[in-house]
Amino acid sequence: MTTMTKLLAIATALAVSAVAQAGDPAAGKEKAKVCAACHGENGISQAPDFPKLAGQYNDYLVRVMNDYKTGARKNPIMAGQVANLKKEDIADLSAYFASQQALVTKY
Amino acid sequence: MKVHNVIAGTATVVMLAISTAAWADGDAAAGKQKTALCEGCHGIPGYKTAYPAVYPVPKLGGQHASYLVKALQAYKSGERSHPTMRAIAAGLTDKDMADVAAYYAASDVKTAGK
Repeated sequence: MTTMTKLLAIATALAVSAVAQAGDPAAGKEKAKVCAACHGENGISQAPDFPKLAGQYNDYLVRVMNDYKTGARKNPIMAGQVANLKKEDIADLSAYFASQQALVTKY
Repeated sequence: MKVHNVIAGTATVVMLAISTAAWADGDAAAGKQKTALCEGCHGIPGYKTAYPAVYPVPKLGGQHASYLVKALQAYKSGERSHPTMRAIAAGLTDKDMADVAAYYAASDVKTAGK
C-alpha cells in the first residue's frame, strides 16, 4: 500500500466515523416519538416545566443525555428514558432535535 | 366555620395566588439588566466552556421561563453540578431568576445563529 493510499484510507475512515457520530436526523425522528409526550411533537414542549429541544445544540443534547445516563445529572424521568439508549440512538436523537428550529442564542 | 373566617381564608388564598404569580412571571426588561454574567457564555453562538471539562453551553433564547427558573434553582440547591452555574445561581434571588428567565423566554430581542 502506498503512502497516498494509506492516507486516503485513514481519511475515509475518519470521515465515516465523523458521520456516524453526527447522527441521522431521520432515524432520530423515528426514535423521538416517545420524547414528544413531554418535549412536544416538534421538540417544542407545551408544558413550561419541560424544556424545548428544537434547535438546541447537537453536542449539548448528546452531553445531557450522557449525563442522565451516568447520573451526573439527576432526573427520575430522564434517567429512565435514556437508560436503554445506545450511543447511536443518542446521536440520532440529538441530530434530529438540533435540526429543528425554535431556540436561539440571545445576547 | 363562621362567615368571617371563610372570607379571611379566601383572602389569604387570593393573596398567595397573586404573590406567586408576581414572582413567577418575572420582568424581561429587568432581566435584561441582570444578564451581564450570562452573556459571556450564553450570548456567543457555539460557545463551549473549558472548566471543569469541555462543556457545550446551551441556547437559552426562546426557552420556557418556568424551565429556566427550575434549572437555576437546581444549580443553587446543588442538584445540578456545573461549578460555574452553581456559583452564579448562588447569588441570584427568586426575583432575579424570574426576571432573567423572562428575558430569555421572550423572543423579541437580538439573536445570533439559529
